[in-house]
Amino acid sequence: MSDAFDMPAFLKQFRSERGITLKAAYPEAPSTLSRMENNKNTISADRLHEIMTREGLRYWDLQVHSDQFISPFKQLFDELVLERFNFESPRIGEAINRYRIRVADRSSKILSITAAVLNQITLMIKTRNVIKLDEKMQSQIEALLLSNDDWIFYDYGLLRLSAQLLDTERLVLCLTKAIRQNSKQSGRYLNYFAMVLEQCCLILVMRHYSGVHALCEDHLSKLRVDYFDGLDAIVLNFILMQERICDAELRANQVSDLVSAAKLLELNDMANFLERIDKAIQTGKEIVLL
Amino acid sequence: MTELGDLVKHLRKNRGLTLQATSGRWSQSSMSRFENGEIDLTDDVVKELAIPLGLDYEDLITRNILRESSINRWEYLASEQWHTEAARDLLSNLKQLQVENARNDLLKTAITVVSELLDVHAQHRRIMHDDVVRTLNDYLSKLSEFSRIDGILFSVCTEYVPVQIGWRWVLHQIRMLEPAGNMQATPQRIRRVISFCGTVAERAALEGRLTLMQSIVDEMYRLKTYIPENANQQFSMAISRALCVDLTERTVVSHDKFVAVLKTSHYIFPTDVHRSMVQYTIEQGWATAEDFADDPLI
Repeated sequence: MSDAFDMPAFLKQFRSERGITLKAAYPEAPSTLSRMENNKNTISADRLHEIMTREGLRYWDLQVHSDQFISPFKQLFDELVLERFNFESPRIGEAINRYRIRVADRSSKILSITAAVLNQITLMIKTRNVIKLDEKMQSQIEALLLSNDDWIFYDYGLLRLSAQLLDTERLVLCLTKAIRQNSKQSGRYLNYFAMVLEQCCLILVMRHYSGVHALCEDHLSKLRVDYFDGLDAIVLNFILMQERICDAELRANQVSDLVSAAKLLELNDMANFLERIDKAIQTGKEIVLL
Repeated sequence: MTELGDLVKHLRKNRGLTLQATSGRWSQSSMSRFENGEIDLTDDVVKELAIPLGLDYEDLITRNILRESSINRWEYLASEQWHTEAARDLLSNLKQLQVENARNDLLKTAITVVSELLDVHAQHRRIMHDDVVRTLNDYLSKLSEFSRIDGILFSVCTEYVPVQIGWRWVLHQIRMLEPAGNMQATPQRIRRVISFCGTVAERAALEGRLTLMQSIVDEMYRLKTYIPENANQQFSMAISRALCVDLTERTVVSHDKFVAVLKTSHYIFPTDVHRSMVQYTIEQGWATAEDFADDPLI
C-alpha cells in the first residue's frame, strides 16, 4: 500500500485497461472526467459514484491501494481479523504501528480509549496474564457503548477487542447491548456482531458465567446458518457444544471429534486453540484470549 | 444526505465531542449546517471524521448512505448460491448502465457472462459456449490486476470453462501475485487465488485430467505458506488433494480419507451448503449415498 496514491492516474489506467471510453463512463460530461484523470479538476462524490458504477470499480478496489479510503481503526481491525487476532504476528505489530502513526496528531475520547485497550493487550501478551483495565477506563468503555443507540463498525470492533479486559458484569451489559443493536440494525453489521458474540461467549464460558446459554444460544445457532466464515463456524460449534451438553463424557467426545476434524484439515492453530481453551474451561483458569 | 448528517451528529454527541473537534478544515457553522442537512460535504466527510468519530467508509456503504453501486447482487452468480431472479435483475441493471455508441468492455463482458450463466443453468449445461469464453479471455488477459468485480466474473465462470483455459487464467493471476518471483501480494489476494485454484482443480477432476489436477493442488499448498491459517482455503485444498489421490489410486484407504474430509464440511459451512456439497459429490460419482449413511444431516 503506497502513501503516495495517485488517484487520477489510477482511475485513468483502470478505465483504459477495461476498454471503457470516457463517454461510456461519464456520458454527461466526458471532458470533465478527462480533466479529472489528468489532475486538472476534481469531481463531486455523487458523480464519482456514477462513474465507478459504470466502470465496475468499488471502494474495496481503492482501499487495496490507499489508506485514504479506510479509517485507521478499520485498517488495524482488518489486519487483526486476517491474522485471527494473533497479536504476536509481525504483521500485527506493523499494523499497530501504522495505526499509531495515522492518529498521532489527533485527539478524541475514542482515540484515548483505543490507545488504552491496545496498551493493555500489549501488556497481557508480555506477561501472559489476564489483566483487566482499571475501573475508570472500563466505565468509559461501558458508557460509550451503552449510550450509543446506533452502533457503527467502531463500536463492535471496540467490544471485540476489549472483551477480556472487562469485568464479567460489564461484559454482559455490553454484550446484551450488542445483541439488541444487531436486531435493531437488522443484521447490517452481522460479520462484526458474529466476532463480538464469539469472543464474548468464549470468555464468559471460560469464566463459568451461568447465563451464557439464556443470553446467546439462539443467536449462536442462527449465526451457524447465516454466517459464512469457516474458522468462526468451528468456534461457534465449539461454544454450542459447551452450552448444550450436560453429560461430561458426551461433551468430551464431541469436542474431540471437532478437534480431530480441524487436525484432518491441517488447521493446526485452530486445533491447538480449541484444546487450550477446553482445558481452561475444565480447570476454571482463565487464559489470555485475544 | 440528511441521514449522514444525523449519524454524524449522533456520534459526535455520543463521543462527547464539540463541533470544534470534528469540523477539521470546515468552519464550525458549516459543520453545524452539514449535521442539520442544510449543506452537503460528503466529498471529504469520511476522511475528516474517520479519526475523531471512528467512522469508516464501510459504515456508509453498509447503511446505503454511500451507494457503492446500484448493482450489488453479484454473489448470487456463484453456483452454490445461484439465484435466477437475482441474476436477471443484475442483467437488466447492467444493460441500463450501457451508454449508446460508447465502448465499455467491462459491461459488455459482464452482460455476456450473466446471460450465458442464465442459459447454462436453464439448460443444465456443464460448459460455456466458445464465443463467451473468448470474450472473457480477451477481457481478462488485458488486465494488470483483477478488481473485485473482475474477480467475481472470473470465478463464477471458471467451473464452466475447459480446465486448460481456466488454469491459464489462474496461472496469470499467480504471476501477478509474484512479480519477478517475489511474493508481494496481500493475504486477501492470495486467498482469492487459492480459491480460484480449487475451482479449476474441480474442473480438472470433471475432465479426468488427474496429472494437471495434481499440479494445481501442489500450487495451492505452495501458496498457502504465504497466508495465515484459514478454514475455507484449508478445506478447499484438503478436499482437492483427497479427491485427486482417490481418483488416481482408487483404494479403500484413499476413498475413506476423501469421505472423511468431505464430512468435516458440516463444521465449517452452514448445513444447506454442506448438504449440497455432499449431493454434488454423489452426483459426480465421486462418492455414494452409503458413504454418508451415518451423517445425520444428509
